[in-house]
Amino acid sequence: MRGRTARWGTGLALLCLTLPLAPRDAVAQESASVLEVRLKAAFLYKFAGYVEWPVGTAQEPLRFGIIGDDEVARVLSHLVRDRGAGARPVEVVRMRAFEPLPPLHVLFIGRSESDRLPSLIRTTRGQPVLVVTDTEGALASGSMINFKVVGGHMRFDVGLGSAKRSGLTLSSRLLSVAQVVSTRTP
Amino acid sequence: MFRNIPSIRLKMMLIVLITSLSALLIASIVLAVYDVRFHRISWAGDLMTQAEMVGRASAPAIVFGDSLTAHQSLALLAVRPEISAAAVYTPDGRPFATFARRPEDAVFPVTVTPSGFRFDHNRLQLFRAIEDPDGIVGTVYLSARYDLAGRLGRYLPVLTAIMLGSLAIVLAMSQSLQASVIRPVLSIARAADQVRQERNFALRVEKETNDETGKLVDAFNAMLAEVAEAERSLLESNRRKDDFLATLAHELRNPLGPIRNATQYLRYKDTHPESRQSLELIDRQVQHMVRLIEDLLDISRITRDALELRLSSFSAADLLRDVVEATQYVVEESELTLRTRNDAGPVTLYADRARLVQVASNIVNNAVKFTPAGGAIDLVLARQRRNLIVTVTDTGIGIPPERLKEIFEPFSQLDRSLEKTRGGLGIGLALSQRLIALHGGTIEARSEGPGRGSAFHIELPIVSDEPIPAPAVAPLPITVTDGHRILVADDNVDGAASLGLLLKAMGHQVTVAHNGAEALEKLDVNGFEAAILDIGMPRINGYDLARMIRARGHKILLVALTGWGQAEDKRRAFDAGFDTHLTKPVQTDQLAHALSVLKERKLREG
Repeated sequence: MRGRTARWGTGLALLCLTLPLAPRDAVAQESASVLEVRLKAAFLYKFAGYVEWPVGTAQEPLRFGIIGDDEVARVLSHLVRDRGAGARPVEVVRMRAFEPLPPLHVLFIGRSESDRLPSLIRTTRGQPVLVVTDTEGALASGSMINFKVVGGHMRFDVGLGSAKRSGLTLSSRLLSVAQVVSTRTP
Repeated sequence: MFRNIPSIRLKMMLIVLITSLSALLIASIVLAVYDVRFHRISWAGDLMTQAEMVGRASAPAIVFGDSLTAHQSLALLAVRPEISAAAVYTPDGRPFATFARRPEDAVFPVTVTPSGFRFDHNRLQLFRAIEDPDGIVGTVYLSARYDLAGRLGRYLPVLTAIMLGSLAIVLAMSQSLQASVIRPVLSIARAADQVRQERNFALRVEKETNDETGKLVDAFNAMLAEVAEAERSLLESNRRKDDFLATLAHELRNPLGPIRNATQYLRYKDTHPESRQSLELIDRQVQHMVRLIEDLLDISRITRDALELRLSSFSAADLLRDVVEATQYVVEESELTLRTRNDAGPVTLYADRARLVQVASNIVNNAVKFTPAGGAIDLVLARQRRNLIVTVTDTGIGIPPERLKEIFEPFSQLDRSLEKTRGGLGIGLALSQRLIALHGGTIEARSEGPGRGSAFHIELPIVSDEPIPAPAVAPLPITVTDGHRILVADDNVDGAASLGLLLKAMGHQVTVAHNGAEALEKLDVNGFEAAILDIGMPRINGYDLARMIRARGHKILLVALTGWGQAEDKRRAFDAGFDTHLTKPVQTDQLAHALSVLKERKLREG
């Protein structure tokens, strides 16, 4: 079991280190975007390890909801399937806008749903859901982690105020890796 | 190593010091080694924790591919100066972030090993896997130098202080503890020294302990007791030997008196030439025998410290003349020549004249014995400041060099096989040496070897500045006088008879008594002018008899006749009332001299 987790971890790390994402040619550009998706999926999964949900939600299967980025949802499902039997059960739910939100731990709103970002986030208000976005300036709309690419590396900003308001605790170790940590609450 | 240390106390102290120091050193080294090993391992454990902490801090950085943050985390290790290099590896073994204190420290392993550490001398290399719930996310590598010198540097002063303190305490304790061991040994050593110097075998060492030193003390005391007993019995047996020798000489001399008296009587009476010749021969042999016995007596007197010198002044010429007189006959008899020379000049000597003559005569007689007929003996007197030098040189058989000292031992002769022809008791030289020593002088034998003659060299510090006093009374001529009435008392019948015969031959009227009572009885009846009394008579001895005679108011001349010729004997004789004292065997001239007083008395009274 441990061997399998290690292998999985190794795969994940490999993803991290296949950066930079800077495109050099068409083929590279295509593979760069593939890489970006895989990194986002991996990061998404890893974020869960640095978040504490309120008591009572820990035993449930860790449920990821993904809107507006089917590629990330696909890769994440793939990643999760390969995990060991001892790990916490994980569910990946692909959703569309206007659908009522099922109980979630993590909600990822892809770039294609950037326009409806504020209203989507609003629907999670009062629930302990980690909102991860891929849109510049999303923190102001109440996003808790927002992906960005810096110097060809995948990075992210953290909206600590929004997380706190939703009853989530983000590990300081996560913050140490964040590009920007915003404590303002929108 | 300890052989040259003269003090047992110092030795013990050194032993204690060396053993304690060794024990302390060994303990310290073991302690230091153990401490360093233990400390190094706990230090490694400490660094492992450090690596873990760094790893935990770096985990998100690895996970999210943020090598800058990982670098920053690693840079925190700069606060631990012993860490020279550190690195974070990705799970697939590639370096993700590194830290190097100095550029040359930036050497990182190519392959990652599982968690653990390894010392290469004092360089520690450590790997620590970073895990999160999903498994290993990376590995931290640390390289650090263990500061052994620093550790020992902190350790050594403490160890040195402990060692010095312990040694001081050990020394102080051993000082008081070793006393119980050493004191008996020291007191034995002191006692042994004292015994050796004072020859006091009554000394005993006090026993303080019951251990081996106590046994040593007991054994030492027992040995002292044994030595004391041995010395006592040795002295006792020596004293008995001396007593025996004295008694033997005395008893041997007793019969000689009557023999001489009888011989001399016959010489007066029998004028037949052939008889005279025989009588002279007997007389000479008796005289020789008397001399031998006198030597024996002298030896025993010397060994008992009973010999006294009768000191008087005389000239070197006197000495020479006396010696020639005493040895003339023997020298001529042996067909030798005795040449004398006085290089000392007309000096005065202050010594025992008779003894000096005896010494010189002994040496000459000795030379005669060992010199073949036709040889020559030289007797030379010389003066060296206050010393009289007497040299006797012969042309005889000589003395082997290794025997030169030995010949002065009593009863020793060079060649036992020569005893019969040479004769003698082997005491002449020994006696001479003792007599010379009594005078404060030395004698030495010299010889160029067997067959080359020998020389005796005597030095005597007896030269005096005083002139020789003129003799007070001129010796009386020995003549047959008118004759006196004389009582002779001697329990030895032959002795009394022979003396009586001699006195009769000299013209006296003699009555003989054989014990004190008889003598008293005869004295009371007849009027005697003189009485010659033997001292050693049974029941009433000579002294008592003399007192009784004086007590009865007899004013006659009393002459003591004794085998003992010591000053003490003479004093006792005079105390008892004797007028004069004669030693056996008595010489005719001595007798005549003693009795000459009677003639003077007669003249005065007449």
